[in-house]
Formats: sequence, C-alpha cells, structure tokens
Amino acid sequence: MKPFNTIRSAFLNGMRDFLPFITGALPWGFLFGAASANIGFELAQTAGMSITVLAGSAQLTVVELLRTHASAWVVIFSAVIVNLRFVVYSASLSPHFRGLPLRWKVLLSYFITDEPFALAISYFTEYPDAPYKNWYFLGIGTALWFTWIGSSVVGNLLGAIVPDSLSLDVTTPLMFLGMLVGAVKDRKYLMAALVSAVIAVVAGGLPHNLGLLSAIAGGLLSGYMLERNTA
Amino acid sequence: MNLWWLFISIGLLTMAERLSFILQPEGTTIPLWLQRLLKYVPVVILAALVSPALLRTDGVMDISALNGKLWAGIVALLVAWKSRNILLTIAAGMLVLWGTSLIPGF
Repeated sequence: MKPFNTIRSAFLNGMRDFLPFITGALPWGFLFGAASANIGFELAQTAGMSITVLAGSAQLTVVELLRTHASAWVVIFSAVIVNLRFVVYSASLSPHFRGLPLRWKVLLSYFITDEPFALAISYFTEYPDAPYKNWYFLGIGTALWFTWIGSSVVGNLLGAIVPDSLSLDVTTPLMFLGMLVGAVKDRKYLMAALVSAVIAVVAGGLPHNLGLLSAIAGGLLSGYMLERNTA
Repeated sequence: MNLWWLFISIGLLTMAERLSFILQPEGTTIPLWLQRLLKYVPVVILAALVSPALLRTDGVMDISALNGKLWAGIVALLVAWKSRNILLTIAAGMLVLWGTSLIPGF
C-alpha cells in the first residue's frame, strides 16, 4: 500500500496512522481542560487556547504559571522555551516540504507537535520520494486537531464541576513530576534539574517571577556547561 | 491579563518556531549551542515548575513534615521511578495528599 500514491489515500492514511496515538493524547487534553477550568477558564477560552497554540506541554505550563499569578511576559517566555523543540522538528521536516507554496508550508507547520512529527518523519524517511507528503501530514494533523480540541473541551466541562476541596490543582505538578522522572536520563540531566529545582524553591518569593527565570537560566546554564565539558 | 492576547502571542511565537527552518533555504542546520541547550529545556522547565508547587505554600518556602504536598511528591517520585507510568504517579500522589489532609495538623 505504501507509499500512498493519491491525495485521498495519503490524507486518509495520515488520519488513520494517528489513531493509535489518540488514547495517549486524550488524557493530556482532559488534564489541560480540567486544569484550565480550575483557574477559571471559560469553555471558549480553553478551546481558544487549544486552537491557537495546539501544544499540550506549553498549554499545561501556561495554566500552571497563571495559577501562580505569573506575569504575562514570563508566561509567554516559558511557553516559547517549552516549544523550542519545534525548531528541531522544523529543521527535520523542511526538506520534505520543500517546493510547497507558502500557504501549504504555513498550514502544515501549524500541526507540528510531537506525535505528528514522529509519525511523519518515520514515513518520510522510509519513503523519501513519496508523493503528496503534504496531504499525509495534513491527515495526521487533522486527526490530532479534533482529538486535542475535543478532549480539551471535555476536560473543561468535567473540571468545572469538580469541587475545589479536592485540590485538583496539585495534579498538574504531579504530572510534571512524572514527566520529569522520565526525562532525567543521566547525571547531567539530574544536575540541571536539581539546580533548577533548588533555585525555584528558594527564590520563589522574588517579584516578577525572577525566581522562576533564575531557575530556568541556572538549570540551562548547568546543563550547557556539563554538556560542553563532556562532549 | 487579557487571555486572548496571551493565546495569540503564544500562538504566533510558536508558529515562528514551527516555521523557522521550513522557511529557510535548504541546508541550514541547527547551531551546536542550540542543540546542547535544547536537550535540557524539558528537564529544567519541569523541575522549575514542580518544586515550588510542592515545596512552597502561601508564598513561603515549606519543607516541613506537615506539608502534605511534600509527602505526595516523595511518593509520586518513587512511583514514577518504579512504574514510569504518569497516570499512576498522579493517582499515587493525590491519594497521599488526600490522606494527609485527613490527619489533623496538616
């Protein structure tokens, strides 16, 4: 069947190849929806953020920061840092989108997140000369879009009816903790994480989120120095 | 803070990141310093968000034994380490949190 030789089969198979990722994506959407409702987002705002940003980890980071009354600049900066990996995805995908009209490049770029990237780069690498790669990617993105917006909306509706006494706002930090454990792959990562954590806790009371910014700067600097010294 | 302006700003900046290399001429690569830095972004951001959320309460540092979130965090850390399952991690942490909230003094 592969590579997909018609626009229709490329698009439909793009959507179909995303199916196994749906169950993985749903909980994140629910959590974002619920966490956003927990800090007072209306349904339109939850849906609006999912549509304009389309990036789960950044959205969850933003909600967590808003919960702690961070300033807009810090929130925006943190979201940009969290999404910095999209620059890498952009670099990997660019040879496959070469020659496409600008409107296609913009449209497809909108869907660049972790799962579409992983799926697409695997297909593109195996079938570098496949026609209609853009339609394949669009199919993946379309499936992702409905999954993400849908689960965000459902999460918001569910989150809005859960009482505050259950302290559901702690679920996001716990989720981040789970992700953190998975991300610490060696001593260098551990060091960077510890530097960041200590600074964030100790300096957390500084105004204008200087504690958070210092923690990020300190952690990144530690990681960068360790990386340079062992490379 | 106007949320919609926030969403649009973040959305546009994220689109810039997504489009960054797709709009570049062929052959442009990611500079080495950026590659090195990128490796640490997830770990650093996550740590910076988790630690004050669990170890600060009402604007002050709180690493006392009566901080339910601290115990929730310790248990969650162990569960995450052993199971590598995020949903289990959250559940374990929340159970500890709810459990400690029932004990007087917490």
